Amino acid sequence: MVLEIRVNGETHTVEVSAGMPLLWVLRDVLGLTGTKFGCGQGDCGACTVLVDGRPRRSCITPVESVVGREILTIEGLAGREMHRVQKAWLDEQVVQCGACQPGMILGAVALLQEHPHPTDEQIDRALAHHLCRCGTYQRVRRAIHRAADEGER
Amino acid sequence: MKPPRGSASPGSSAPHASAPKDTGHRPASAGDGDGRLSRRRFLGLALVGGAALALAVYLPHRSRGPAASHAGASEDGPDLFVHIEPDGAVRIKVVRSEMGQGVRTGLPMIVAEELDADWSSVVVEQGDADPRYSMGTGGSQSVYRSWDLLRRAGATLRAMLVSAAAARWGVDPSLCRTHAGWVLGPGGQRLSYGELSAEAAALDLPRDVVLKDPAAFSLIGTTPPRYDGEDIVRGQAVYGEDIRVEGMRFASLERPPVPGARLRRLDDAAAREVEGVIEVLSLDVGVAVVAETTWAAFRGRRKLKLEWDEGDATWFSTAEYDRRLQDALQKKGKTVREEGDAERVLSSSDLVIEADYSVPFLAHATMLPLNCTARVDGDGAEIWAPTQFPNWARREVLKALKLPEEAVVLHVPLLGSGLGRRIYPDIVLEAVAVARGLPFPVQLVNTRADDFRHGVYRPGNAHRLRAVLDEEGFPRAWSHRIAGPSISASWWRRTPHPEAYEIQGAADLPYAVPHLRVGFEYVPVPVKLGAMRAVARVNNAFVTESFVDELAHAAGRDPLQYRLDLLERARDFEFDGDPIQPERIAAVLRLAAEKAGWGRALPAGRGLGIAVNSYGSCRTITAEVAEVEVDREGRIRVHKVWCAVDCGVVVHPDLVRAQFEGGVVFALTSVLESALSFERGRARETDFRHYPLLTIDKTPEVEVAFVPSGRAPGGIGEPPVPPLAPAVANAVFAATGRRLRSLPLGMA
Repeated sequence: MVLEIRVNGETHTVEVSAGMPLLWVLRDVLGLTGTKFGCGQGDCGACTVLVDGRPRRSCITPVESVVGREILTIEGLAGREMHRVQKAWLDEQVVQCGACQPGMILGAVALLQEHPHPTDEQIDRALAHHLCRCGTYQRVRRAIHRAADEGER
Repeated sequence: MKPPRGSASPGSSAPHASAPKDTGHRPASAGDGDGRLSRRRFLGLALVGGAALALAVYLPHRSRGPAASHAGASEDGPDLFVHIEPDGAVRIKVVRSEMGQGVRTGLPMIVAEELDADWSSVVVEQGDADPRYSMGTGGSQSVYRSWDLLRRAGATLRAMLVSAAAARWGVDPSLCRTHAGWVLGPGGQRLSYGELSAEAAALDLPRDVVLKDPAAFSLIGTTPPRYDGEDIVRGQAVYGEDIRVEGMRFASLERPPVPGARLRRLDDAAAREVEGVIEVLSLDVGVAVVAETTWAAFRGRRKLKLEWDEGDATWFSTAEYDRRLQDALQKKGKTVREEGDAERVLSSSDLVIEADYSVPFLAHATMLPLNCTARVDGDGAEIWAPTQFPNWARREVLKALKLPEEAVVLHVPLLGSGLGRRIYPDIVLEAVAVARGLPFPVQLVNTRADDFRHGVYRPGNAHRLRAVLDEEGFPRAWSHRIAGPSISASWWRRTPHPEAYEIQGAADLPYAVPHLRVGFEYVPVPVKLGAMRAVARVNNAFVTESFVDELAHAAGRDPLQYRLDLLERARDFEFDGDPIQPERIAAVLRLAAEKAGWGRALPAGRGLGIAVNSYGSCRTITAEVAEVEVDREGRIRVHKVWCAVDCGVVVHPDLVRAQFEGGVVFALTSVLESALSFERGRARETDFRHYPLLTIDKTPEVEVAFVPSGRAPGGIGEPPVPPLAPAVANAVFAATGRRLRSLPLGMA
């Protein structure tokens, strides 16, 4: 079937099978590979994108369900400058292998929209289903606090 | 992964304990005459012909572990290239795989330091597989093995650039200085490295370059941003699964469910009906569904109707295997270290302290599932493989396709976590098997369940520890029996050294014990086994450092002081060619204890535990103290871990800290969360719900302290892992008085 979806501010016409998860439309149809395939079951968070500003597991989100919504992937997060969460990520040197980080960063962006100054507990709750095999969690926490402070300026 | 003792692979006759051999230093290009050779090559460095200054660097290597030996990767070749471009860019080609450890940052830093390059002008390139390189990333060896030569490479290039500048100015080179990519002359002249590159390229290799005094380092010891960091946070970094090639399609592979199973019947009609499915291929490696998208390939695969003859391996279940291990623990096993006569002392004593420990099998669970992209046509093959051992993979492909050397190109994108799993070439061969039947490139992608089901697992095993204490409470006899499978035998069934990996961290016990015996009893399994971050040291550190703690408590001694006393009485020795140095080990223990406030009063339900590991094969010693709380329901929470490390000179302190923070999380996952079990020859846990990874809410604070050192750097990828499990188990004992002897730790 042919659908129109909005990704990173652009409209794309895509031909896809019914029920195809958004993840595979992004990666295999549109070539936006910044969104990662980690488990395909919504367990790991590597495929997280924002749909109308809310975090969604793109690997279990049928593409039909996001027609007419604004989808933001990691590729669309930076404007002319990097987003403050991306900058904070670099300042804290969060990444190791980096595979979970696009999902983790978008999870953090959504958290900061809801809680501009999240507590550690709020961070833990928001990111408890984002798995990182390298174990960057401590720095994720620090980077979110740093981005929150930056947001004040 | 550490090279095994006396690895019995074909072609590796010498045990790796022999001194690093003088690695050939053959010219990169054949045909260099001897005279030219000596002018262009010297001690592991070789000038590469061309208009700009370029140097190839050959690192010394030991013979390798099963992976490399299996691959026959004994040839030597340059491990790194440095090119000084006319525009001033310093291009450094790294022939090691980046999996998060920071090798694409750390190795270039060492060159740039001695070269006095402007770090912002350094461009890091990833080397393809190449039989001239001795590639392979594992065993925490990259920095440890490269240090001296990379420094000399940088210093050599610097000296040549200085000579070129001095010649132009007509001054003595000793009057010139260098700074951030410039040669500065005595009269205030300056020339950039780029401007000098062509002239320097015409010079001979200098023989006596002077290395910097480490006190003068200006880049080493600092923390520049990770090389790939910005690409990663922008979503622009390219991992294996992100490779997109013109015309490529996607494949999913249904493999035999049990090792040795054979396909009896295939009905692919329904699979072919799935929208987007292009082809179904029945191959030796399994049944591949090829489709327009990964999703269509996964869906098509679910519609396959398959019947298998499952063969003999279905006996393998965790329950049955545990019974076999219990039987095997009754046997003495092959002696792998013996001092005095431990069995006699034990059998003649009435006061034997005895404890059985067990550790489960584990899956790597790399963040990105295994994948590989391949194009195979009449001319050859081009492969994009996120692999730790590109040459092993490439060589296997050459064999499988019966192609000449030059016909196979293998690129190495970012790995997305390796942990040892990406040493093995299975996915590469499978991708090639699928692609060779197709007129277009294909990307084979594992599902998460595929990764769990078709792993190269960390062996689980069982341990029996027995000791007799002397009048002062120190062990007079210590016996450690290990019963379990063998990584080596999983690759060479007839190896005379099935214990090669499994005794690491057990047979090199650093403590003074007059009567000491370590034995290994091999109990086969049908599944594939391999190296996983810190390999056998994880199991053995858990067992030995827990048992030392048991002995300390039995003797009524403080567990820290008990270890220090045992180290005080111990002597330096070599095991398997690696130094064990009790004094250094004691210093690391003391530092960890000091940072953690060892001995301080804690609230009820809390405890501190300590453990240490000397990772001989990469020369790094780590000690960790865990502060643990156990609540009334028996839930274990680790609040903080203090790590102390003696890893020599710290090239990039922040990357090293990151390895500890992450190493603690990695280790704690198998201490608290996950284990792999088997039934009918198959892994039972095939997703993150049943094989949970540690999450952010359970992550402790981690503090890292360095023992100041001027020694050459040791490895750092694996050493943070082994001490964590025993530190936590010992802390649980301190908090509750309960000794937990199997992983994952459960109070239930």
